[in-house]
Amino acid sequence: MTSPATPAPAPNTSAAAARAVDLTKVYGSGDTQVVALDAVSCAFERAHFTAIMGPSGSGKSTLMHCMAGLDTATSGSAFIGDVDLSTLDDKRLTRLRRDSLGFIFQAYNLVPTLNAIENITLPMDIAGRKPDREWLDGVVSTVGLGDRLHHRPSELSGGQQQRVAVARALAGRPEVVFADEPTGNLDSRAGAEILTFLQKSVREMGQTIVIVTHDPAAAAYADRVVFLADGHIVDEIMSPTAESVLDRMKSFDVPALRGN
Amino acid sequence: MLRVTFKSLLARKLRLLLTALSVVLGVAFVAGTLILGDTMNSTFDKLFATAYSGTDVGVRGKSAFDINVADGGDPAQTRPPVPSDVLEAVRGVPGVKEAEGDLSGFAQIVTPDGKVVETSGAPTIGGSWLGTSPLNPYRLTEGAPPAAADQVAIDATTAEDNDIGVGDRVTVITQSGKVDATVTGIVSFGDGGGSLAGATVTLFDPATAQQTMGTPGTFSEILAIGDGSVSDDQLRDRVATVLPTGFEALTGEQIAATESGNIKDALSFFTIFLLVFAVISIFVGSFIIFNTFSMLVAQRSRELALLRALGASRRQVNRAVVLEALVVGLIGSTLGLGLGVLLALGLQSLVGLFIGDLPSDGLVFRANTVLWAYLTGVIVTVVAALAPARRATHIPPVAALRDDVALPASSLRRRAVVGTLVLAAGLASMAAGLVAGAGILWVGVGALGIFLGVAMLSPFLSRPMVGGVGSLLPRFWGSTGRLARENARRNPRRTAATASALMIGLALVAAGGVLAASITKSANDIIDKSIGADFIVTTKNFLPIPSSVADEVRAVDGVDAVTSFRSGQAKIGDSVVALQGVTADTVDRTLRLEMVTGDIAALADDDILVDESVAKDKGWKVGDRIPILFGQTGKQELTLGGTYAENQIAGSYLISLETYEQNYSQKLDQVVAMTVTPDADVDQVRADIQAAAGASNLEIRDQSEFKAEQRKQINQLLGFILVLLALAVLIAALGIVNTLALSVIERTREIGLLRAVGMGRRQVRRMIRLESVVIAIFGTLLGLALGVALGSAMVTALNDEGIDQLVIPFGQLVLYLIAGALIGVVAAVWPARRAARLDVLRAVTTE
Repeated sequence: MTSPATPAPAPNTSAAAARAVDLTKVYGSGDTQVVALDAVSCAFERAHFTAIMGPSGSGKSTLMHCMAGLDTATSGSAFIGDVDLSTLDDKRLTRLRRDSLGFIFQAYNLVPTLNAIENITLPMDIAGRKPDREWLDGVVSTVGLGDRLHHRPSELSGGQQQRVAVARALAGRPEVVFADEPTGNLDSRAGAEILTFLQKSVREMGQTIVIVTHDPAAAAYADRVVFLADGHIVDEIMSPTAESVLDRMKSFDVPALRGN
Repeated sequence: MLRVTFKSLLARKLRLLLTALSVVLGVAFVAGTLILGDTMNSTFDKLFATAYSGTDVGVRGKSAFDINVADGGDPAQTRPPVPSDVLEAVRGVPGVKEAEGDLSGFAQIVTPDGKVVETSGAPTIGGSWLGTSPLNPYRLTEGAPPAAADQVAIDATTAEDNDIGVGDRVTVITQSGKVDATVTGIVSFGDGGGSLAGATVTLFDPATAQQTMGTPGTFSEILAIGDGSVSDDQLRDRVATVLPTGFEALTGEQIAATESGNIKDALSFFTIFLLVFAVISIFVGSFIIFNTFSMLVAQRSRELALLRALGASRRQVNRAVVLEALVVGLIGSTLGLGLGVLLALGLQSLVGLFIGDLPSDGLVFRANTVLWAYLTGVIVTVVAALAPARRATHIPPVAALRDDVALPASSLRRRAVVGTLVLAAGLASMAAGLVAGAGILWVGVGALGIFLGVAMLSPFLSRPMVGGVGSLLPRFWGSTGRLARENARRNPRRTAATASALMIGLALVAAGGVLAASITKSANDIIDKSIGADFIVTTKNFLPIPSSVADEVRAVDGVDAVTSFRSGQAKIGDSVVALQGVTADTVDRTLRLEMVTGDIAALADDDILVDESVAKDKGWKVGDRIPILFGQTGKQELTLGGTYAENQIAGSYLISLETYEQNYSQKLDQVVAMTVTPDADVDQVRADIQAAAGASNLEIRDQSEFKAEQRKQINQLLGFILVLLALAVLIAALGIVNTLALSVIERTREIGLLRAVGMGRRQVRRMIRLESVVIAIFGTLLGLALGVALGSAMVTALNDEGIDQLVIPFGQLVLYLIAGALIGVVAAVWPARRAARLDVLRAVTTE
């Protein structure tokens, strides 16, 4: 485990790269109303690898989507650094995503018409920025795509595609990388590779990473696991192992089956 | 299965509507044209039925040959007049209660304040007042009938429109000169005041009518009414027995039908002309339908595979898609039919704007229109959907379970082979039509074949061409540009089919541009080469010029040589040909005739001059007697006085004005051309000519103005064609909208990702817009290239008609290219907005 990077300059900011404050998300209204997040508050520390876990319907994906500016909260605030996302219009939100956040999705979500390296530099290209060559080379060599950089996604295996997605998320040196079930579509070996890269990027490059997963083995790569159930944070584990996560998970299973 | 189809249709209402729209516009064009045609036809049917409503039997001269109405022949011109002794004979036929000699001809009214009453294309009719007889189709509504040489009655509409009342003095221009007269009466046409279809009517008393419009002692026709003892047919047969040869008896209905038929024939080109453009629109629409159904099948491949997995047979899947097309076709046709009524009104005013008012009293909507609208709409839609439906049956059931099963596509090699064959067949058909002279239909079918062939082959062009056009995009718009280019390239068939629809419209536009520019240039050359006259007098709307004008102009100080030009049809050998009567002693100065053999002076001896190539063709030599069949005077022989080098203004046959007058009873000029003396003040002479000619609708032009007028007319026609093609281009633009909209739906997740990683809404919009522009420019370039080739081929084929200058209007083509790009921009507005509005989260997690 690495210690947090440089202390934050402003007095009111903690070491957190992202924070949720009383974050509430309600879907629908009346009888069909579903409270996905119920006044959730938590912080994601800089240069930490955090995993969000929980059973289906616990609100873990919603939490991540709100934190990443992909979804808007019903009430409460999501902060990236000191920026309250709820105060941003679409334009600023887009720019924030482009410049400060990285994304990894379960379904790779690469642009099929662009080759690997073009996909990796896409956010910077969209912003019209020159990529930091040295950093980019470092990221590319870390994910180990080497000779496949000029292949299109259809010519890459699932693991390779996800590595491209990881490189894309890291290439722009975002404040936070959000990953939604990044290993969900991969076999265990390819999945382990991806998680190792993510872990390495936290330890060696000081990257902040938040992943959503339901796989205890994946969560074990994190520095900290936050457990969600029924829209509440119910527990967290520091320096988890697959076993400790699994144990903790089991305790949710019963109410999760009974409730909902 | 049926339920699946309808649920699927309902779930995609928007797509259904977009697809139906391309059917709607094409069908509306067809329906509108048919309605317009029926309206014109019914107007003339009614008009002539009214004119002959009181006539049981009519007697007319028989032309020595059947003239060609569609080529501009005037039946009245070749029909011999009926002498008055025939009238006496008819009156003596038992069963005839009453018979009158009628006269009709050219009579144009000049209002008391000197304005010539003009029509926009309809004739200015002069007639004879037949009194209170039931044979008279006119009813006096005000004043008294004309009873003396200086009295006329005019129709109520003309009187009202021009503010002419009983007692006003007017001038009437007739073929034998101007008549100053007092309007004594106002008449209506038929009992209910029927429509004259825009024509003006001036009625003289019978004796004056003979003098002004015919020859004293003759009539245009004899109208008779029976005493009721026998049927019209029997009466006709009885009358026929007393007629000399060269005359025929017809019932009133027969005459009405013949007259109406003649006008309909003369105007039928017009309906056919419009229908050609309707067919083009439908053809373009079929591309859109094909493309849309291809995309829908591709997008629904999982759903269709699921149906197959659940036990639906291939036939059922096929039928489901075809049924969907049928429903789209039915909806599209129904809406199209409704829009067709509006379009008929639009076409009517459009034609009025460019060519001349079409006669109409209320649109006529016939069952035939409904039938054709549905037939074209439904058949075109279903046929266009057949190939996509077939492809749907090839979706393997396993595609339901996996998402990486690609839709089977027909092999590119087969496409290349079939496309090349279709293209070759199209080229062959066009060559047959243009070079071998097999007819215009072959040219049309050839053009369709070429379009289809090129469209089939266009996917092969789309990668390099889109890549080429698109290579500029990344330079100006960075990654947005690159994404746009790649999107346009990723599905060559779809891009090509979308672009092909636009290609057709622009190919025709470009071909029209090349033709118009070439014709204009050639016409200018012809005018330079063929005309020696300093001034040329014509009238608006191609109305004839009374013979008195030439005489008045001749008297003007400073005017040197004056030549009248009159045209007529005659039969030489087996073909009906156009010949011209010209003033023999001046034609050498007003026309630049280059004699090859013989002497131009022979014209004054009533000889005939012919084009050198015609003489060679027929094997005629100077001094030969040429047999000619004239409509009114029958078989005549003229001596060949000489041959001249091809001269487009002179045409193929020239006779003297005297010879013309011996064989044609009408005395109206088409054109009067003149030279001025070298020392004359040209502006002064011009003003004097204008004053002498009097009538303000005469247009006097010098050579450069005459050229400008030709150019104006050609451009006007081109403009009209452009407007008609606009609908085809609009349908193609809708096709781009459709393709983009469906692509946006297909790429929802990808767009969501782009948004998630920081692409702004404006950038998304720009990406879609650029893709659209690339597709549009691809189609435009393809179309312009094809159009220039087509236009050049047609110009080459028209070489013999005097169009020997090939001009490619590059400036115009550049404008069309810009217009094409703009179409791309406009077509992208809505799909781009949809793409930009996608909810990022939902898009990125969509299946």
